Amino acid sequence: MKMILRSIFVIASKYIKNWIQYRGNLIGISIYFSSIFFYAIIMNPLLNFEGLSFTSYVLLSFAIYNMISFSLFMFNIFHANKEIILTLPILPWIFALGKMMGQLTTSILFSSLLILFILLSQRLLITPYVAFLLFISILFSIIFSFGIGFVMSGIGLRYVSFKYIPSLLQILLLFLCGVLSPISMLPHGVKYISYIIPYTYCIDIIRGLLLDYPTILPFSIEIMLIISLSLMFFVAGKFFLNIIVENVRKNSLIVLR
Amino acid sequence: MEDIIIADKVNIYYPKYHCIKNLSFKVKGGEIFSLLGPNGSGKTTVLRCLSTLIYPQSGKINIMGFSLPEESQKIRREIGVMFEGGIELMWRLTPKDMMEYYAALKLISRSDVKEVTKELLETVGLWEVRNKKIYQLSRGMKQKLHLAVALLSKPRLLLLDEPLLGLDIDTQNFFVDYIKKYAKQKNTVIIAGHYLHILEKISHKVLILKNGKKVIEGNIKNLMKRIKWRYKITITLLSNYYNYSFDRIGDIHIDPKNRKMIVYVRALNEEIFEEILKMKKNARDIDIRPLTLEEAYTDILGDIYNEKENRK
Repeated sequence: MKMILRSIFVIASKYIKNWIQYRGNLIGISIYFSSIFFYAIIMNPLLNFEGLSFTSYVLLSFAIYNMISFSLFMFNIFHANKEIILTLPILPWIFALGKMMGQLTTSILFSSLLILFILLSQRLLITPYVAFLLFISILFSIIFSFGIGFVMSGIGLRYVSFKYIPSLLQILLLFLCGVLSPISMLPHGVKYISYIIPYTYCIDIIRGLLLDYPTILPFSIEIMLIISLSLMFFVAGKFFLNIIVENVRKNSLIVLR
Repeated sequence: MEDIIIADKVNIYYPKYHCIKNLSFKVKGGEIFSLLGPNGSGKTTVLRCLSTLIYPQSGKINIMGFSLPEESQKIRREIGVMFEGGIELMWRLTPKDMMEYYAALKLISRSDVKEVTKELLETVGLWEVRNKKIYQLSRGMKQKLHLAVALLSKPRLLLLDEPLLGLDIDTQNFFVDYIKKYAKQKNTVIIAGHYLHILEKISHKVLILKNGKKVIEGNIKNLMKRIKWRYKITITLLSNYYNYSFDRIGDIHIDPKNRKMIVYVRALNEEIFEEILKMKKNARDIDIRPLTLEEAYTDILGDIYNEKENRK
């Protein structure tokens, strides 16, 4: 166990060190946040929430979404290294988890700064109860992201053309989890998909706590759903990755360069 | 020495074709074993299989007493792999960082990492540049770093796929010397490659593949015995006058465009030198040298493979 944790720590820390030293990443992050600011500012006159400006709400939602949906591009890292990773003693899911921890930390670094800026600029008072609910919902949404990351890594290992899918999936999730528009505005059948995505409840809790907006379900049930769905996806994702790794090995299906 | 690898009737199927067909071979401990063959012959697939990246669909493979795929995790702890595409090198990190990173992936204990990193970076001559960024290193240096990473867990079996590709002579010599030294320490090295003139000098045993089938397996000396022609005489002519009397003593290939006559002969004797002297007036250059393994292996592939196919 100690060895596994150390491996995860080293993988994540080297990833972060490499990421920070690449200036292109900082430029990319600046463009990303600038575009969110731009979207929020032009939409501000159209929609306004009491207590919190729409600009701040959009920024906050995007910051949190960015923090929790980091795993969508996990397959890229896994795909690029599979030839060597699958010949090393480390288990593939531990490698994937280490890389995702690195990705998560770099996402958190900038998202946290943005969240802090919004909270300070809006002079929002966060009670310990609100902070606790936010913390739990974000933490377990991140665990859900790990599960999704495992699935992405597994599929990326098998299908090289899969690389085009995560961008589409991210946009789809953006709509499905209600960051851009409330779930109630989605078509009837699509809502059911939203209900099994923990991000939906995470965003719903943020909206409910900070904007006093009516939530889909009571907070306690939403928290329970986030926890159970996230743990379920994490375990299923890890299981899926292990199965697909063994399957592609046995059937020589690994897509190689 | 005991057999380190025993492969018995191994078959590997890729989705659209049968890549390795009933392949059997053995490798002894302390041997340098070369896998040769044209592109697409299955050399890399054999290495991928030995490195546990893929498993055989039928047949048995035993590596250092562990069977594949049942004990693949134990095999992974005992081998070092260097694939043609290399390893993931994070460009803004240093060789020292990369060694620490791969030590974590190879589950090497924290207390050993510093010592092993220093020892290996010194061995491959990268200790001086240990704090330079990866993007500042030359191709040869990166390849040396790949080797150091492959050696991190002090493997008893080293698998190298085209390790000399694109390297300058000095780096090639470094690799050759190191591989020889490494094998002398009772370690086994398996190399897949095209640099036959080098592999000829260092290999104890060779396995030649074509279309996923074994064409021949044996030690270099025995292999050379099977070669029909041993010497190559290249005569660059001043005019298009060719001496066809060489036909009696060897195999003639004519290249009219470059006015070249290539003659393969079994041995250098008086008769041959007499024929060469006849050509002297019309020759701009005459080159006589022993066949390289590359030429010999083309010869073997041509003759032995056809022989086998005809027998079927």
